[in-house]
Amino acid sequence: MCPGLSHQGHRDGQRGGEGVVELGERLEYKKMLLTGDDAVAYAVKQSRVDLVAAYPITPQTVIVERIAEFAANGEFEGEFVPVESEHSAMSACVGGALTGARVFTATASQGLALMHEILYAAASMRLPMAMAVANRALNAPLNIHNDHSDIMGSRDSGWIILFSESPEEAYDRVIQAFKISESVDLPVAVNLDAFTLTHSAEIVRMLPDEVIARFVGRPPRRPTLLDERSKSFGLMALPDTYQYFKDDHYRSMEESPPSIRRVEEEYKGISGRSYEPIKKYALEDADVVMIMLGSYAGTARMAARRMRSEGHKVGVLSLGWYRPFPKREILDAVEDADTLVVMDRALSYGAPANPLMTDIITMLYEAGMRKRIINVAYGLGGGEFTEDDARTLLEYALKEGPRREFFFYYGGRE
Amino acid sequence: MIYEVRIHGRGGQGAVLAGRLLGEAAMNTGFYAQSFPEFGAERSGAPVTAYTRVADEPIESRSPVRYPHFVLSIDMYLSVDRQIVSGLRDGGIIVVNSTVQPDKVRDVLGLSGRDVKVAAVDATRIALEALGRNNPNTTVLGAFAAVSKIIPVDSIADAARRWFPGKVGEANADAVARGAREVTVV
Amino acid sequence: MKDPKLKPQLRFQINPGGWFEGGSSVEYTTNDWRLERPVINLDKCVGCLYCWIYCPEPAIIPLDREGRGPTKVEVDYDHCKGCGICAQVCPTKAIEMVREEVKV
Repeated sequence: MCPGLSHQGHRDGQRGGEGVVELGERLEYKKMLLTGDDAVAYAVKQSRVDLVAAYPITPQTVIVERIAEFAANGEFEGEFVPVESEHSAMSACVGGALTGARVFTATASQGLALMHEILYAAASMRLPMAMAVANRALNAPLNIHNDHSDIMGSRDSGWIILFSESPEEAYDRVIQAFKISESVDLPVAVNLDAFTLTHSAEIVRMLPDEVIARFVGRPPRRPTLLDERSKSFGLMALPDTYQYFKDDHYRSMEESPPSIRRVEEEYKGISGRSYEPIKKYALEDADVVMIMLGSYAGTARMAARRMRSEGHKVGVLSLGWYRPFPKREILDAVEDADTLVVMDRALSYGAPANPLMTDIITMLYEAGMRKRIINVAYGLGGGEFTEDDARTLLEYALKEGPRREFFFYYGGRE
Repeated sequence: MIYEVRIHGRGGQGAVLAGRLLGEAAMNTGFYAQSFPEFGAERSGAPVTAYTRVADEPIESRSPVRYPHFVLSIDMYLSVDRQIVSGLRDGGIIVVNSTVQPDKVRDVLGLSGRDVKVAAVDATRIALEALGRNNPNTTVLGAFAAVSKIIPVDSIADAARRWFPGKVGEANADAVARGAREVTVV
Repeated sequence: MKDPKLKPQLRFQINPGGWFEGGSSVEYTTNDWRLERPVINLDKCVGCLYCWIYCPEPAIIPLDREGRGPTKVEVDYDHCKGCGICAQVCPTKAIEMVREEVKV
């Protein structure tokens, strides 16, 4: 056990005790100072997971270590399978999911890259599972710090992709991920930024075991390898049938939003914490909107808040959902803005635009909206991004400038 | 002009190679040529389709042949399966490996009354005699060359010799010649 | 004009993720894949079951499993592909490969 981490507090009816907060009659939680990794491990422990197959890689290692500890201490009821690589981890998860088990894995960076092949199998075989991705840069040069290159490389594998902005959101999203994946038969990747979330300790309002247990329930019955009547899975489909499966998979992603929303709403019911496809800050009359993924959205909001107090019409929009892409919600939110600052933490070399920019610009074109758009590559390989940096960019965007531009923002002092 | 050929056989019989040899022979005769198989699960005995295009101009289409001028069937079971004549053009030719007489083959394949030439050759027997194994591909090619008169029988035999150097090549060239001689047409 | 959004109906049901009821290869017969068929002479067969072990399909069916004495075999001609391995391994040469003829 990690020192100082008691997770007994919310048991045995210790209502009203230290750190335990009651929300009306039914809502209660225990405040704990947890890193993102710890929070994810607790979420897995509470979610009645049957199988965890994972291989450690910085900065996700702690998730795996913590679950191994839980297992060794008899606190984790599922099976913990240490494997020899991420390729095997995802393969074991596929096998586990095919038995009807609830499965989880976690990885980062090169580890996710090594899984790449099996990510597609998991998604197109329509297998429910949850994965935490501790977003980290890819080699070369060797770098263990945060950016979104890893998940952008897996963007088109057909997984549902969610982003979190705090350890608590990572905890909440992982719990939701199991339920989402089991309701739409698609795997769900929950992203949390390397170090800024995985290794920074923040207050997480942990919900009681039994509340989570009731929320996630048991996975619904589906065809499995263990069925009385034998079935074949992962079959070959030649040109005459392959497209039908892709069509089906594509449709399932298109149709997933109401199910994801339902889980978010249900979760709000047990936690009092509200999640939506996008997080909006001061957008109503904003001239400039900064669009972000992940943990630095909070930094940008802090900058925007100060600038608002000085009378500048700036706002920040961050995406909780990345796939499916919340088009409608974003369009509604930015409709009246003049200028968008689209912040990418991954590159697409030689492409017309970087990943998030491509999504935004496509969405605007479809809606017939024309705006000034500044695409910024920032925070690559953990590149620093502070309130001052956000302010610099927002101030730049408030001035007149070209309709389209792209640049690397290096940050740092003058 | 462009001729499109579809070849039906089973894994291991040499349908794909037949397409290839036909292409080589066409090239050596002075035509543009293209040859490719329908890729699938590579299993000995499973139905296989291959395509060859022969033209006097560069060939740009790389799609499967849906409306062939010529259909070749290397396999004795497929030779009496109606699916193989799908899309066969009027004025076209079908050459099958079969012990069944061509007029009977015409009936079985539902080609009665159609402007299509039907040719049959007992290629399995010839192959077993000439090669000692069940590769009726070169025999059917010889029969096709004799009936269609677009590519000389000798060009096919040369292509087989080049593909299989030595004794095996000679045996195949012999099979080509026998196919050309022993084919019957209606 | 053909509808470009046409999705041709398949002959069988497609399940999400591509699972299929087991045993489908039983329905997939390969009786027309053969050049030669194995014919077993039960007078020579001593029931050693070599053919049963070596058959890659498996298309050799043991007979008399309940009875005493040697277990004889028969061929499942719906799934035999005529590879001839059974005839090769038979120690008493009880299996003969006979040319198939296509009749119409």
